[in-house]
Amino acid sequence: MKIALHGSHPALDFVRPLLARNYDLVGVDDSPAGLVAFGPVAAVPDSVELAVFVAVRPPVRLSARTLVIGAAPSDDTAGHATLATEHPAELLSLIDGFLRYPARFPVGDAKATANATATARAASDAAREPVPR
Amino acid sequence: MTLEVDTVIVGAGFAGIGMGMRLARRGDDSFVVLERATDVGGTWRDNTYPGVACDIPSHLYSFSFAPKHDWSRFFAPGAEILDYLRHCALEIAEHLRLGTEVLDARWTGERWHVSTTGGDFSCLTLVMAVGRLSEPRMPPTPGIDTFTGEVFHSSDWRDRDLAGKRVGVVGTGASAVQLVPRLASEARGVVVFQRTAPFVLPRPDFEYSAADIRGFADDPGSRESLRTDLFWGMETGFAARVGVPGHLDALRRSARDHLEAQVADPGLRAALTPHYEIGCKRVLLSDDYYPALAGPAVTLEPSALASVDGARVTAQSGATHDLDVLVFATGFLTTHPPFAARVFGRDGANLAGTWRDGMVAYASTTVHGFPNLFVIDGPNASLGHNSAIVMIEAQIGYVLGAIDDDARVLEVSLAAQQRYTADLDARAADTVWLGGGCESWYVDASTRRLTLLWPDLAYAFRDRLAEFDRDAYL
Repeated sequence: MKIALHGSHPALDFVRPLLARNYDLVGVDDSPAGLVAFGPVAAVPDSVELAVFVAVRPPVRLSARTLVIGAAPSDDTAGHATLATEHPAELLSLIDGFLRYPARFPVGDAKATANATATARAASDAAREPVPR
Repeated sequence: MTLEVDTVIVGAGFAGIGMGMRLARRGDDSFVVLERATDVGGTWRDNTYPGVACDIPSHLYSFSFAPKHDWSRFFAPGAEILDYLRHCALEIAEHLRLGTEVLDARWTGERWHVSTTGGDFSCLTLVMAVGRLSEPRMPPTPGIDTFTGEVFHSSDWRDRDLAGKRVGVVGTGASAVQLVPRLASEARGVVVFQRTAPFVLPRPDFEYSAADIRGFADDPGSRESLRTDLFWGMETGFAARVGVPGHLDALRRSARDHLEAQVADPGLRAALTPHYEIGCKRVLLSDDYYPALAGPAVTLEPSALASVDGARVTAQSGATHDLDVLVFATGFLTTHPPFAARVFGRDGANLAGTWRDGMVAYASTTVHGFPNLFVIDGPNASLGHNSAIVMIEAQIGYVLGAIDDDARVLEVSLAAQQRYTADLDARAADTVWLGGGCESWYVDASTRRLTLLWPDLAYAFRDRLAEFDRDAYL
C-alpha cells in the first residue's frame, strides 16, 4: 500500500522508518492510497482512501475514510482516537492500526485511554531502553 | 476410562493458567489443565536459583485481567511471580490435574484423544501451553560422566547450598547473570565459562513504597496507567531491533558505558565486550554481574567448556579448573520443543516431523494438519523487547474466538499458513536477530529462520490476533 506522510512531528523519526517496513512511502503527488497528515492539508489527493490526521483537523468534504488522532472528537464524519501516552510507539500503533483495520475505528466513535500519572511516567521512564535524545 | 471435556490445556504456567481463567470466567467449565509437575507456575516454579527475577516490570508481567496492586518491586523476584500464579490458579483449582504428564495426543477425526500418566482424556479443543523455557538444554560435554562433583542445570536448583564449594557456571545468559553475583558471595570460588559475551544494561530496579502500593490499591486507574505507560515505553525498544537510526547507537552506547563504568581492568573489559550487534542475543539487565566478575571470588574463563576429567574441567582455551560443582546455565530447548514429538494430527502426522525444518504456525497459533490444536507461546510468539504476557493474552483471545466459531472442526489452510510464514520471514529479514552476527536461541539452527520471535512490535501481534479470522480455515 502506498502512503504519503505530510508535515512534521517530533515522533516522525520513529514512526517513518517503522511504517516504511510495511508500506511504500511516497509523495503526495504519487497517487497514495493512504495519507498521514501531521500538519494542515489544503487538499487531499483523489487516490487517498484512508486518511489520518494527527493533531490537525481534516479539510471539509473529505471522501476518504478518516481517523483524527488527538483533536477534539467533534467531527462525526471521522473516527477519533486520543493518545494515553507520549510514546511514539502508541502513535504508530494508531496510524498502522487504522491503515490495516479501518473498520475498528468507527466513524464518530472515539478510542481513548486514561493519561498516565506522574508516578507512572517516572517508573516507566526508568525501565525504558535508552533512545536517542 | 476416558474423561470427555470440551478443552484440554497442557501446561500450568502463565499461558495455561491464563487460558483456564479466561474459559472459567465466561462460564466454560468443561476443561482440564494438565501439568506434569506437582505444582503450577511453569518456569517460575522450576527456576529457583539464587537471584532469580524477571526482567520485565512486574505491573506489565502479569495478566491485565488479574492485576496485582502490591508487587513488592519494579522487577518482581521469581518467588513473588510464582506466588502470583498460584493465586491465579486458585480460580481454576477444580480443573487442575497436577502430576499428569501427556504421553500422547492424537486427532481421531473428530476429537483429540490425550493419553496421560493420569488417565485418558477426549476433547474437541487441545491447547498446548507448555512454554518455551521448560526443557533444559544440556550441551554434550566429553567426559561429563566422569565429573566427581555435582552437575545440574540452573532450572533444577531446588534448595542446594553451594557455600564453600568451587563452582563452575557454564553460560552467560539471563540465568547466569542473575545467579553469578549471588554465588560469588557464598561459594569458595566461581569460574564462569563464557562462550559469547552478553550485552548488559543497567537494571533500574526499586522497591515500591507502602504509599505506592496504597496508591495502586486506592486508585486502580493509576495502576492501569502505569501498565499502559510501561507497555508503550517498551515498544519503543523495537526500533533498535530493526536499525532505526539513533536507536541502535543509543542502546549500544548505554551497554558500553555500563561496562566501562563497572569494569576498570582493560583486559577483563575486552573479554566482556561482545563481538556482535546489540539485541541479536537477549539483552540482559544487571547492576551486579560486572562487579562480581571484577571481584576476587569470580574467574572469567573467556571460552566455552570443552571437556571434563574427574574434578578437572578444561576450557576451549586450554585452561583447566578444578571444581566441585558444575552449573549449566545453558538455556532451554526452544526451537524444537520436545512436546511436538507426542502430538499426532490428521492422518497421523507428527508435529515434530511437521516442524522438522523449523516451527511454523498460522497466526503463530494454529498448524495445518492439526485441526483444533492451538499452540500458545510457540512459533513466532515471543518477544525480544516487551512482555510475553501481552502475547499470551492475545493468543488466548484468538483461541476463544475460534472456540466461539460455529464450525466444530477448524483446520488452517496450508495456503494461509504459507502466506503468514512468508510475511513473517519478510518482516524478520531486516531485524538484528538475523543480521546481528550472533548465534541465538531465537533462530532455528538448521534453517536460519527466526522461528521463536515475533518480528514486529507487540501491538501489531495484538491487532493481528484481535479477531478470529475464519476465512483462513478449511
